[in-house]
Amino acid sequence: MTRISTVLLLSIGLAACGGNASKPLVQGASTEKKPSKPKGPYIPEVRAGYEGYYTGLFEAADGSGGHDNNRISVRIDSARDGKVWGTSIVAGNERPFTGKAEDVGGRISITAQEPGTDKWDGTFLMALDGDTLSGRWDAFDKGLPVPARTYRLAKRAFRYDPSATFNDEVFEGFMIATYAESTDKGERLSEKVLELNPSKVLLKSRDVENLYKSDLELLRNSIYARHGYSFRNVRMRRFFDHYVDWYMPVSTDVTAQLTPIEQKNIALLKRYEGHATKYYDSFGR
Amino acid sequence: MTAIVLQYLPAGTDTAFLGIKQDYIAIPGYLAAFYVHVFTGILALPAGLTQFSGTLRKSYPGLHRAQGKFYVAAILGLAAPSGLYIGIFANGGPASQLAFVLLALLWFWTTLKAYTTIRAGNVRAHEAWMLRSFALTLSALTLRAWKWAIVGLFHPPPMDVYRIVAWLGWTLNLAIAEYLIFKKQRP
Repeated sequence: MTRISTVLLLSIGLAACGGNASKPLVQGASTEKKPSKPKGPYIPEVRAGYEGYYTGLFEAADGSGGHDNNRISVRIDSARDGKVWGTSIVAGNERPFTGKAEDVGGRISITAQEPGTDKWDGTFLMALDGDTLSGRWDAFDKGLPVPARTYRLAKRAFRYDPSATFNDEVFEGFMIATYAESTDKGERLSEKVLELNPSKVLLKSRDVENLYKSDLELLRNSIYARHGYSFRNVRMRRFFDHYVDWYMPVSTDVTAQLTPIEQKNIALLKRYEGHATKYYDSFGR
Repeated sequence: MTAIVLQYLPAGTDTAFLGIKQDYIAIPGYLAAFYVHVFTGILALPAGLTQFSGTLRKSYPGLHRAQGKFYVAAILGLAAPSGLYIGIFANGGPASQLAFVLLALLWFWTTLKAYTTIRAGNVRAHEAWMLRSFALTLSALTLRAWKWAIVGLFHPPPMDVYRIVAWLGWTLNLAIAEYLIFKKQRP
């Protein structure tokens, strides 16, 4: 039946193209094989010359941010005829913006608005000088805890690198990032987190059974981080935003980008995390 | 302890301890042995409440015998053999596997000796073997108590704790039993 319909399709194609035999054949083939969706985050086409990702800290304008200053990536998607379209990705929130772009003696001055349908939407006032995008952002809602922010972002292409891992600085960084006032403590990691890369190697129970919950959580989230996931989880966000140089947020959903190895490792790590949470310090096994 | 056992009802393949035994649950008989061990092992614990009381033993010798037979049957028939089988696949590698296998074998042997000595009418030996057997039965509680205490004090990695308590959970109990036997049966 499939064969018959293909033949039928081809003959219709042949008839429509008026005897050009090579073209409809290609068309016939393409209807059977759907082109696979490109993997990875959206990479804008460069036309105006400055499309792409700019990343850096999104700092409270009154200087109160500290660790709560999140890393933001601003993506200029398109710019033409004095108009600009883009997206901001910060703290697990991905928002589009549109506005005006003006070339003032080699510097590009941008004024853009987010739609205003989200609590955290606002106005960007940006200046692009070479590869540096800096400026301020003002929330539409002045009642927000931080209604104004400043930033100085560097242009940076996103690339998924499964080999990206941690170094010795991870221990102190993680402890500071996970500091909790209630316990006056940060979370400790074990040395094993330097040896295991769940984006490259399929982990076995033996690899993870002696790890602390924090180790497991960090390793699992490192998978998402490599794909540029923008974290909602505050502890993970603080850590990756401030202490991991290869990290930049580019997406709020990376599930489609996960490799089979990563998917399996996530399931394994999550299982052990759950066990650690429920049973590590309780009366039981 | 009852609560720990009851969390396995309804029986699944993913509950609590089984969550980190996923590499083993496909092994023929593992899951069955695990559940047999959990649900029959707990039957041995109440014996401690009644069997070592001199007054109860004198006033209700029938109860002592019935409860004793139940205890012996539960361990020899079900709890110890199933414990031996799952002990072979214990988490933590050879160190803890050896600990659990040895525990199961000793549990079986001491319980068997306690039974054969009383059938032969040797009350003194029966008492000593029962103390040993029950010391090992109590490892169900002491192993978990040690784990709780060690984690609370030192926060070691989880599988290190497990290797430690696999031994500490019953060897100390057995040492205490030997001391009690020595004290009691000193001429």
